[in-house]
Amino acid sequence: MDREELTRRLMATFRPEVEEHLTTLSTGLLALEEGATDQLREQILAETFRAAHSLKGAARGVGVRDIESIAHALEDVLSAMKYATLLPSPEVVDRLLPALDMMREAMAAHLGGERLPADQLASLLASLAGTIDGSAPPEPASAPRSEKPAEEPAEEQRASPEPAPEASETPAASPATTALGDTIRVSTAKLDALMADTGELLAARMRSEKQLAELRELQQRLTRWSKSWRSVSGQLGSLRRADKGGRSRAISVRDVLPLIDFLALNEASLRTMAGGMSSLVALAASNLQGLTQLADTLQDDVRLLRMVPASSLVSRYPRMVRDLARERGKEVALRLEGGEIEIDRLVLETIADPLTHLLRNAADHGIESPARREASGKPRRGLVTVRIVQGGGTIVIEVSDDGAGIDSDAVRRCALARGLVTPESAGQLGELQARQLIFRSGVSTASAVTDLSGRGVGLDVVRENIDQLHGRIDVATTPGRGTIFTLTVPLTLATAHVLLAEVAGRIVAVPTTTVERILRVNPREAHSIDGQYALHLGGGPVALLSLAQTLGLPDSGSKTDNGSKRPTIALGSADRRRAFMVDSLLGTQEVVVKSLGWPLRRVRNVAGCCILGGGEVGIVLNVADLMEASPGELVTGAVAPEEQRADKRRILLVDDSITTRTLERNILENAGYLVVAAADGEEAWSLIRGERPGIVVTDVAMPRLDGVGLTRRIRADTALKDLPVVLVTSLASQEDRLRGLEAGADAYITKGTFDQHELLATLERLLG
Amino acid sequence: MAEITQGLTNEERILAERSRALARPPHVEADGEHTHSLVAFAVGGERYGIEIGFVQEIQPLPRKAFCRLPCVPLFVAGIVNIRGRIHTVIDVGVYFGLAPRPLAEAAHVLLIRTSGNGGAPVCEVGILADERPETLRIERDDLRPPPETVAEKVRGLIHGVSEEMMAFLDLEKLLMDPGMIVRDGE
Repeated sequence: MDREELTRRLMATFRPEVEEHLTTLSTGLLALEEGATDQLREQILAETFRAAHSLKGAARGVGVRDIESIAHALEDVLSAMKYATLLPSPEVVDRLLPALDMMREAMAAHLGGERLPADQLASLLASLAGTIDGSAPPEPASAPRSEKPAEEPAEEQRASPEPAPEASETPAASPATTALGDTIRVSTAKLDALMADTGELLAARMRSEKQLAELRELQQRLTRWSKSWRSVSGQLGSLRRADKGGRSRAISVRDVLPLIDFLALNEASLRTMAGGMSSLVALAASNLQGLTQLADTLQDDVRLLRMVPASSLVSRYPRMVRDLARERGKEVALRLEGGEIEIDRLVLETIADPLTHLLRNAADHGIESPARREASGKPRRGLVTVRIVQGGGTIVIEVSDDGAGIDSDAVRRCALARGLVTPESAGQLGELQARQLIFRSGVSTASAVTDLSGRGVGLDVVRENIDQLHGRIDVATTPGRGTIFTLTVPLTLATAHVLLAEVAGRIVAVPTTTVERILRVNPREAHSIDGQYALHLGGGPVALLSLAQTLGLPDSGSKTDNGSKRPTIALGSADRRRAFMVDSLLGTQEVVVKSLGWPLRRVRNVAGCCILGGGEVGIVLNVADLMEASPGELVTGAVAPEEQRADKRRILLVDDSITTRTLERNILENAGYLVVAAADGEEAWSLIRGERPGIVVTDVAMPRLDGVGLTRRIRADTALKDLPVVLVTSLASQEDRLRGLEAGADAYITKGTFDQHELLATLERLLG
Repeated sequence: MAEITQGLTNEERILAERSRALARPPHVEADGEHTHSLVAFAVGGERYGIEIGFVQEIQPLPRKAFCRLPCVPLFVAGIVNIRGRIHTVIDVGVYFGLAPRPLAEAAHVLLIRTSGNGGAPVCEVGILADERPETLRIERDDLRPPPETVAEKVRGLIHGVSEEMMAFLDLEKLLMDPGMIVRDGE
């Protein structure tokens, strides 16, 4: 292995190591600052010291001298703390934390083949040394930073407020995300599980080999049987010939004996082969079962590999909150729960920014100044909690604070001021909807816009990111008491277990985690409350809707008003429940959920799609949206033209004479058409509007509305003007014919010359 | 050549000519600044063209793997699964104001990929055609500005119109048009 290769490999292990040590150092320093009981303090101190020490050694080993120097300086400081000559006061910690940042920068610089600017390094080292001997920090602690070529806009932010909250990540945040994206730590337990799976795979292979061997043996038996047969088949031929010509010739037993022997052999062979077949079938079945199970297990185990503990994301938060609080002159404690929960890495990466943003909001925006808090009887120290909980196939993350809460009136006013809502609708907005306004770009309730938050740009981005994951975000707030943001995201993005159903000719899917019950409902039997149908399910009324109508699709089921029961799915999301009637249920399946591509960034009611067994596409529904969707809302323009496509085999036959209708119907049905009949033009017109036929065959002379009038009406209707119309009539005069054709009929057939050929030929011509 | 074809029948002559034409190496003119190679397709009776560089693939729309979406604007014909990847299928005609129509029997889909230049995202999208598209070349000089009757919105998205009334689409502009992006429910 050459030097370069060696260096590369060393770097590959060193980088994650740096991150780990820095995390330990950060956690340790903050914990020390908090102040802990003596015993705990010693332990933390020891751990922190070890981290600095290891980091120093490792850095020396790979030749990153800057990190080595800083780590060394830190070691000295921590040593002083150990011997209690130095206390970890906030001011001291203020000077130590930048050392961590700078080590990160040094790492980044080293990867770029550079080193830290010498004066910057010197300044830091002096500052660190200064903590021990109690000298004041070097004058412009921030100035060197601004001299530095700033790839880190966040760095400069400390010195002067910068816009764009997106770039407001502390230096602690940005390199960490690279670490998250680069490599992944996998526990040996997971790898062991995979090894076990490959062992299973080996067993499956052996079973398959056995199967093949048995099949081959069976094949050989058949070959042997075949040989035996060939040796006696000649016999059969000669025996047959003995019976030819109506005369039977006598044969001796000796002639037949081979055949008899063969039959005996046959019986024995078949019996053995039957036995062999049974065992083969059993073997194949058990093999298949084994493979199926293995496939599932393997899939799960590989999926688990992608999971990382949430702590890899949240571990940077204590530092961030601390720095933020100190900057703003507030006192904020951070509590983290559930860091050990594992989340799909991609999900984690996607929620990293939103979560960070929410946290900053809470610490900066939510928690009031210590003075204000005391005045309202709260403890000086505000509390921000990040709690991660796993439930079913989802992860729920709560970011809560005990701060001032969100003033929905202020939100309303702001939205109004920004022209995001009209004055009328602003007044009509309920509490919930008013709060939802904060997720719109530009809305904020901060009276003074700070550089980090309050600018109102962030929450809409948060919402977008969460949407991307097919998750949801909710906010609950009590003015004066606090706010809770709740994010719900899927545990894994890879696959989902869904229930498939058919609706308006499409296949839709909902995650089984949202399905409460499956039932059959006769809509007539449902109760009506305020004109809205409802079922009584599990302790409360549940609104009953047609899924087709909710999606803005034509509901074929409503036409069959014969009181039959329709398959219905009761869905639940958060605390809302609704039951949806569908056309049919197609079972459950594990599917890979795919996002809709460009330009469909966000479609109401649709979360994504999936590919089913035969290559068909299923529509994965967004259950949260469905809970809020208007029941019969016809989303404008969503009715696809397909629904209006005429069934070409469908003929509307109009004649006031029942005899004629029967006669013509027979002819047409025998020719393979589907016939719907009406007795006059008016009836025909309503039938046409209900379901468009492929063609209209109509008499002329009829009560109420005659054939010509009907034709005119059809031609005058924009949707129907291309509907072919054939006039079939006994009115044979030229004027009548002209009248009919002028009205727009496509053909005029006189009954006098009526024969079925002409009618059928005309129909064929017009229907194409 | 003429001497040889003398003695042949009409049919034979035609066939001979055809085989000669096929035997000729294709005359590939480099697309200069002034020539564009396009894929031309028809939608709702109107013809459009797209720079050939954007077109990854053309195939008949696989009905089984195609699905219409609810709750989307009319110009989104649906989504299609091609070799495991999902593409949105856009009806350009509807986007430009035509009434939606049922899927044509011979409907085809053009798979488009944009490169991410000029602000357009790197995206893959399907474009609906009512029948099999064809390729053709046009000279920049042959392009005329769209007629007055064409809506303002449409003008900005077209490079120009050819003599045969084929509208040469500025694909990247089209895909980035605000009306094209669906962000519903916010």
